[in-house]
Amino acid sequence: MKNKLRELRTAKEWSQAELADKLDVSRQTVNAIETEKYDPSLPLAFKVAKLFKLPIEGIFES
Amino acid sequence: MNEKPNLPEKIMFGPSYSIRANLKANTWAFVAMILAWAGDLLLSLPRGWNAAQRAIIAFVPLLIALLWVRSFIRWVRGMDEMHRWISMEACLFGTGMTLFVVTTWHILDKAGVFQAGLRLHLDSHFHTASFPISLTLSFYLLGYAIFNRRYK
Repeated sequence: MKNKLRELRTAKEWSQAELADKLDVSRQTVNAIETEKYDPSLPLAFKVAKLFKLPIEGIFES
Repeated sequence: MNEKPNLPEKIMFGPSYSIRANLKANTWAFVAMILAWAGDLLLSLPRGWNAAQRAIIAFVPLLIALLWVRSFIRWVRGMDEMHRWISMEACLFGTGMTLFVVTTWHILDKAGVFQAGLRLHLDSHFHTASFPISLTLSFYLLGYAIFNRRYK
């Protein structure tokens, strides 16, 4: 699944570890989502959307 | 903010290893292994154990292993979703491979392959409690290493 997580994170000048902390996941998980190796669950996608104040479809697309 | 998620790397030897995390997840596994080895040793002694004593010595490590399963499930629940997924795959791989090896071993042993073909008498070692416990642990670690690579 394609996503804009890396763009959004770098725009906020957060490191992967900082974003992982905010999402209560590991840095490896953030990296795997950014590199599109792992598709997050719906609750995690909602959490990401809430954090960046964007709709889910504004961050993730199939 | 919630507690930090449990990381599997913390219980595997490497730069992120934490003895505290390992004890949290695996204390009962270590206890079960020690008791299994001690039990194997006790039962091999030329002493007249009665049936009840033999049953207790043989069965206690497996009961302790159930406590390990409980603490390991709690540890996995504390992981983030991706690591939980990898761990579940590794657990399936570990139990599946153990089942395969144990079943294959039993079938080959029953067919007399070890005695006839290889002139080995592995039966006594196969029937110890430490064998399936250590086999499951080893396959879990192998499975984790394999499945984790996909998300690196």
